[in-house]
Amino acid sequence: MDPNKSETNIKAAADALVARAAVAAAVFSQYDQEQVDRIVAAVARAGTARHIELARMAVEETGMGVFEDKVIKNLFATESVYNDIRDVKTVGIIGDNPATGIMEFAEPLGVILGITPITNPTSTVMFKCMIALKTRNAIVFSASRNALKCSNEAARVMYDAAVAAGAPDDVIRWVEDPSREMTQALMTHPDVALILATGGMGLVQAAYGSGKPAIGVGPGNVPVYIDKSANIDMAVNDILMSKTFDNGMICASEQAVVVHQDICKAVEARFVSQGAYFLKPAEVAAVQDIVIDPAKQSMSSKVVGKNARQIAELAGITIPPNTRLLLARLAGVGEKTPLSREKLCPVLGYYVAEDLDEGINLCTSLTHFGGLGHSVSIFSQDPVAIEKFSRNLNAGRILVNSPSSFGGIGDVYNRLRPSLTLGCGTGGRNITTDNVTVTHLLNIKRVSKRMVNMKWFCVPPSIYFEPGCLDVFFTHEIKDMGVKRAVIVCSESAMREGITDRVAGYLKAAGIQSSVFSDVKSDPTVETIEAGVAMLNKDRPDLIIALGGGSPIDAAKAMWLMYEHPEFSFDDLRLRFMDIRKRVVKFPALGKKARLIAIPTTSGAGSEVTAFTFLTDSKTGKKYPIVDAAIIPNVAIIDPNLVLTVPASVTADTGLDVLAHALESYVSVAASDYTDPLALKAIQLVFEYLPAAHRDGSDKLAREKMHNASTIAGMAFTNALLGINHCLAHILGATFHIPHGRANAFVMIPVIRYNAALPNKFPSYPNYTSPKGKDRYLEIAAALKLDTSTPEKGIDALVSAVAQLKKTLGVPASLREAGVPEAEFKAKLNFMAETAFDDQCAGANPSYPLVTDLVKLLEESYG
Amino acid sequence: MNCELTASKINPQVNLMALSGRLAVETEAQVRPLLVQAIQKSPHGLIIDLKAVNFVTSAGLRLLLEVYKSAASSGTRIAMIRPQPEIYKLFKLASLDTTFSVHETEDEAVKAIGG
Repeated sequence: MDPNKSETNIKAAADALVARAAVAAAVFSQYDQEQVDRIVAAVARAGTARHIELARMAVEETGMGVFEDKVIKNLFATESVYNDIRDVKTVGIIGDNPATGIMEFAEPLGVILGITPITNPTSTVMFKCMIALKTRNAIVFSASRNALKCSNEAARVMYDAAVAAGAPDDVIRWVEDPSREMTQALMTHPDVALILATGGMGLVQAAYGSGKPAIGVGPGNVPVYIDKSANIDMAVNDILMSKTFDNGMICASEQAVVVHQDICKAVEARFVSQGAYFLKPAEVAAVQDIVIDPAKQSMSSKVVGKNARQIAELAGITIPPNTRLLLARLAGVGEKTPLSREKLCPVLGYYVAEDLDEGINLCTSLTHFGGLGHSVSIFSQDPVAIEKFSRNLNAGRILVNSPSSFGGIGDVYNRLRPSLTLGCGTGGRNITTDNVTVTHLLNIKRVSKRMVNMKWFCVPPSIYFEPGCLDVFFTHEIKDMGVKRAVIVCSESAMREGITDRVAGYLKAAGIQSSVFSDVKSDPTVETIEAGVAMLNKDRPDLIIALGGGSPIDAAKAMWLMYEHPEFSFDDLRLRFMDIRKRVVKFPALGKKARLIAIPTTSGAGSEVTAFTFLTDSKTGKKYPIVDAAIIPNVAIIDPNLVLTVPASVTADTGLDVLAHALESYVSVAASDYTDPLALKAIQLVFEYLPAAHRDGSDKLAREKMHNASTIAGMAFTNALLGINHCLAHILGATFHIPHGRANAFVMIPVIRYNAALPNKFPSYPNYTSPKGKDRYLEIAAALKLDTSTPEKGIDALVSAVAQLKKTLGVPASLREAGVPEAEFKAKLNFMAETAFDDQCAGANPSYPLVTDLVKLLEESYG
Repeated sequence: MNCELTASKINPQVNLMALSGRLAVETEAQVRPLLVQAIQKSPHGLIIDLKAVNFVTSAGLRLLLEVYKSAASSGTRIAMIRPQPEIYKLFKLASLDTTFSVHETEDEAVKAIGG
């Protein structure tokens, strides 16, 4: 081995090349878009000015191709590519979208190693210079050894023009003495940022195997399918032109023709009339031996870029004068049919297919035989055929009614990006199926501004209130609804109190048929819902009236949902979600079959205005919230006459639930200007009127205020959500059979203190910018006119007010006092804490709870 | 470019020179002799202040390298201070930030020079 080419020398030469290019890339990083564009324009002009000489050099040096076509390729690489990239933003801010809050900046890659082929030597060099310079990258070329002079000359032309236009020194470099060792040294050099490899499979695989980011290409074995609907003259013209362009050296050019049998005679006649020759069987064998190297099992370098006459001479066969293209009738695809391989010369395989399906399958076989992911082509006027063809074939470029060589490189016959580096995706073991261009040579930096979530305020379209509004509504407004059949879903107590009969009477007077489903107990179960839905399906109402406390109203909402959309399963609906708008299962709009009127008879769950329903899984005892604006009732009727006979203990429990709703929606991370006034008002109403309503159930004013407070708190919490007070109340209530409102009361004070302290875990919600729990409670205390002279006093005052309220209502101060057995409580403590943690309500709490926090809170509630 | 040579207030034995504008082939002719002179006059060390330099071309970079090498051979220690972000980035990309002893403040540079 020549000592001058020793390994150390080669490595030193590679180091020197890359080092200079790296400095150039560093200097280039300062340039702005204007400076870069000036350079690219100058380089395009220079390439265009020398396109003829460079084409001549290429043909002379490689002995391949057609001079005139190489000229066209050089123009394509400069003019077409320049035209495509000239206005693309590639420096600095390249994108700014206020809607997403994302700004994009372009960062160059650094030093690109450009590997260029023998087939399109000067055009590929010029193409890569253009896209590298446009993206502020330096590029080092390693050209094919047999196209070295013309390739390096093209690089020099580009370089001189670039520097004259202000580009940094050494921004384009080239290897003067290529070797496998040099290529390897460059490929693995630490300061090379990316390998852009256009060449044979061995080279491309080496690029990917080097461990360096690489964009390579794959081999093509492009089939063109001529469908029975094709314009035959155009198809034959395009194929001839495409396959003879530069003597077939573009990798995207057709390698085999597959023709629908109905038109094969016409196609063959047309081919012959246009200068193509169908080889006789013996001639096929002769040509095969020349075109495909049997030892290497691939096309022979002897024929690459040779014309038809030259190939015929090499094969020792006689062909008509002016023959431009040789066609070989073939039957199979694979090693036994060597001419079914890629042949970068004017020789085409020729197949006849019985129908579209067989045609597609032949094309599939051909692409799988050394051309997967590259390109395929179809001539057809039938959109159905084109769609089926495209759906089934794996190719980055599916050309329709176009020559595939020009079609593949883009721009001339279509709007694909002009490129001389065509990615084949994983079919060709590449990273992309794109026509590689400037967008692949940038590091995109995304500046993402904080974006808050959109919020909403959804409540029923109509809420009627004031004492006696039920009677007024069902005497007058009901007639405007235009309904014919109603089902009343109600509690046993509503039946007992005669309210159900009263409503049924009004309906009958209005000419509306009705039936009653009263089998609703507290904590409605899935089975209850299913029974209710069965009734709805039987009676097919266009109006559902929910009458009672939270349970019948919750049940009615769920029944309504299932009645209108039987395709939904209970499991789908109770999937957990992190952001309510990004949930997996979307609720459909309701109201196509029936509307829902909700009439609460307790003060209350607020369910008549909320997007929530709570169902109990009777197997596990777990309560599941189902949440969506779709289940908000159409009408809510808030008539305090209906709550006059509610017993004192129920009045206390339901009233405390209202307080919990209002407190939680005020301190929730999702609280807003829309929900705050409602929450505060409800809290004020509770403190002012709940003791009175509890003491004397016939106090009409107190009942009215509490009934309104319940609905108002509902409007607040359905939009601002709840928190851990409810998480804990749910599982406490289910485990120890404590009424819901009372369960909320037991944990209320520990939760207030916990939420007012600095969080152990901060909630992650973009609209919530810092811990506000304490301040929010102080605002509540101020609204209640308590002593807020210091924050500590304010919190203490609020806690005392709650404690006093509980005492006045006869609610025990702790779970222990309430008689919950200690041993059982301790045994279930962890289970309850974990269940509470998993409750949907946890996410909006101002402190994101840890399970250990919830354990402590339960223990404090026990006392 | 006004390239005055002044003494560092932190260590009067070390000199300070501020460059400005583009470091390019046009300014090379003017700047090179000034820098050469500065090195001769600064046996104990020279700090080049790049605060006002907004662009460094290939030629400008070569000049800086040349200056650095000639200072090294005559024993003068060099440091560069307050490069604008684009220039600092250029130094990092070309792996020249340690070679050139780049610092944010005169204070750090004086310490690095060992004054």
